[in-house]
Amino acid sequence: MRRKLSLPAAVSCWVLLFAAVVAHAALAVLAVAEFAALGWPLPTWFDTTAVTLVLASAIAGLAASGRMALRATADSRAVRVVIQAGRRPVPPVVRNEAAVLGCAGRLDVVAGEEAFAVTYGLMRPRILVSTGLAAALTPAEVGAVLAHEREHLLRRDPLRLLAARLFAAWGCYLPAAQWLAGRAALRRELAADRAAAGCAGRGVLAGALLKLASRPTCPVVAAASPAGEGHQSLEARVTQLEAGRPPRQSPAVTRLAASAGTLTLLAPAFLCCAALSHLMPGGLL
Amino acid sequence: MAEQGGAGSILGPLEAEVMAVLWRAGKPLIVRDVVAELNAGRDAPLAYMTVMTVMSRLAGKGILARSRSGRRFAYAPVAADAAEIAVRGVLAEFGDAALARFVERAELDPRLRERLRRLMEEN
Repeated sequence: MRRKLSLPAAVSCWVLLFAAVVAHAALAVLAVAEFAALGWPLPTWFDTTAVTLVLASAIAGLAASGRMALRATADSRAVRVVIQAGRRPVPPVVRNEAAVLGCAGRLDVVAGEEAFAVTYGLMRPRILVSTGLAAALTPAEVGAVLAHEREHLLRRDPLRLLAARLFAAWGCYLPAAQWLAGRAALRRELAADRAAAGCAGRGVLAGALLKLASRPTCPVVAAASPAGEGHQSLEARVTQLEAGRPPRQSPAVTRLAASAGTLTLLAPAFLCCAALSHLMPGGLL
Repeated sequence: MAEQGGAGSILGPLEAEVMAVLWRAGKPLIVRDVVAELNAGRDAPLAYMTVMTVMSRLAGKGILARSRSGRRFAYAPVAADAAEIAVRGVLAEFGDAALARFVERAELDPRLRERLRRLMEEN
């Protein structure tokens, strides 16, 4: 039987991931304090191993998410600088549709035969389209694409998706973390499609998707997209357009079970780290 | 002529020179033509193989389109100028963590294409 993961279940997964990351960070601070107060090694080999495990895994998570945050910040700046330098006049079709949607002031156009549209920027997101987009689509379809991107812009999706990826990077030892981040990205795409369909109509949005997904993608732009995810995402988006509501996503049962198993294995180390604090001067617990 | 200022930061020096020749030509060129153009007035002429390697590398990066012209290959720039190359480069290299796309790369299979076509017609 194909079981479905409802929204509350997904929210529960995020709450659990958030709690695990926060608890892990707090225990890592405690582990540093324990080593500082009690020295190396700790009273028993189990204590030493457990507290070292907590500290090492926290450092690995911090390094992974910190590296990602730094890179995303630098990347965002680099993308902005290059795009600002390469800006082109906005084609009339795009300007008219953007004016109708109220996003003309946050729109950039760059030259390019490939038809693409993206929302870029973490703190002050903007919409970027290529001149090829206006040439490839009808005015109504351009409006649908801009409505889709406006939803990303208004919800600050680049920043939200980065936050999801940062949590996933910290919790990299939990197999469900990456799945949750991918699922969050898909949910935002579906929400943007609903906004676009509400503005332009389902048929018009379907036409834009059909034309843009059928065109040969510029190899350098396509290289940034993980192979395989594009197809799954498009499948879910088409299903939503047909049904008029978001498709239910199958839970990654194996990943959830593996994550629960990992937490169960780590629990003794976490508990040991917390319990050791009573040995510290003025014991915390 | 296309703006060259930004090309140096995205392309190597010789790559930028090759692109300048192709942008000036405004049509696909074979390697021999590019070599002749590059070596005009140059003290130390560039070897044919050197230029061919550079152009093959540019084609591999998706910056040049290669098409057969008789027994040889002709190359044409895909981007209109250095700024376009720069934008495409940063989108590819940096974009994943800093943006949301309208449509990801997708191999549009016939069933999906048919479903989209039906949606277009029904609505």
